[in-house]
Amino acid sequence: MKTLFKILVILLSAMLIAGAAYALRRTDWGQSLLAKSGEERPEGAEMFTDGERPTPPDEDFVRDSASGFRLESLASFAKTLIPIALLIFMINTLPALFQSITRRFQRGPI
Amino acid sequence: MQPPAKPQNYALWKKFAIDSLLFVAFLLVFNTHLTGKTIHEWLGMAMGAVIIVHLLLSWNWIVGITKKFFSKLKAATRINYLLNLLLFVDFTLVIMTGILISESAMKTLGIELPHDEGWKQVHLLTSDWAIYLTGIHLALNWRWVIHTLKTLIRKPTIYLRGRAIALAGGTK
Repeated sequence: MKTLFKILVILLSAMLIAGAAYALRRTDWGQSLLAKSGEERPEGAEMFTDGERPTPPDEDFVRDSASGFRLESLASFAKTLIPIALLIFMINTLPALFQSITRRFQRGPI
Repeated sequence: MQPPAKPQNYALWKKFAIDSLLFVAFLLVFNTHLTGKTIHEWLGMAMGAVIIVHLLLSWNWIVGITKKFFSKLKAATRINYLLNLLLFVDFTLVIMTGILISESAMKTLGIELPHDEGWKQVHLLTSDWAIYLTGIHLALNWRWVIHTLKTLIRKPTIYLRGRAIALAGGTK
């Protein structure tokens, strides 16, 4: 019963967010915001009109083996993993590194 | 007869397994080239269910911090809480827009939705944010990940022994 209540709270929160997004999308402001973000989206992102759609890369380039493995898949994994790995490194290592460097300079020359 | 006792590391194993599953699903769902659109759509929706389980397992932390948010609290905890809130909003939007622009999953369920390019834009935008927010979420909880991994590698037998006793119907 307790778990059911918790699930309902989570679903209700999600529905509130979804409802707010849906209502916002219907407003003039929401529509102008979407139109603007559509213009600003860099080329290469998956959003083109039929005339703008770039030609797909050469099959030989993307196919890595006879089994049909596509390099694109690997690149897609890297596109997700690299930012995550960088963020983990930056947040966990850089402050400690910075601290050790400043401590070293506070001590003065050897 | 007494119910079998829960093994010592059971909660930790459960949480770690769910989180690992969520991360693998996250990586797969972001790789549409590998999975194809149909699996992408079903996996995305299934991820929603796993996110609910993830939230249920962290319920005590969520409720505790929500109650104390405006009183004395560490800045790092407050930032972590706000980030988790943002992540929840973002994932809700990703899944909601994903359902709205679905091409095969909704059709299989017999639901026809009108094509809306606007929702696709929101889906792509919120998906991009999800990568960065998940990265920060993982980074802020990295110590827990490493600590849990070490504990589970060093003491796996506590869980396994507990499971064996539980399966045999013993009380430990």
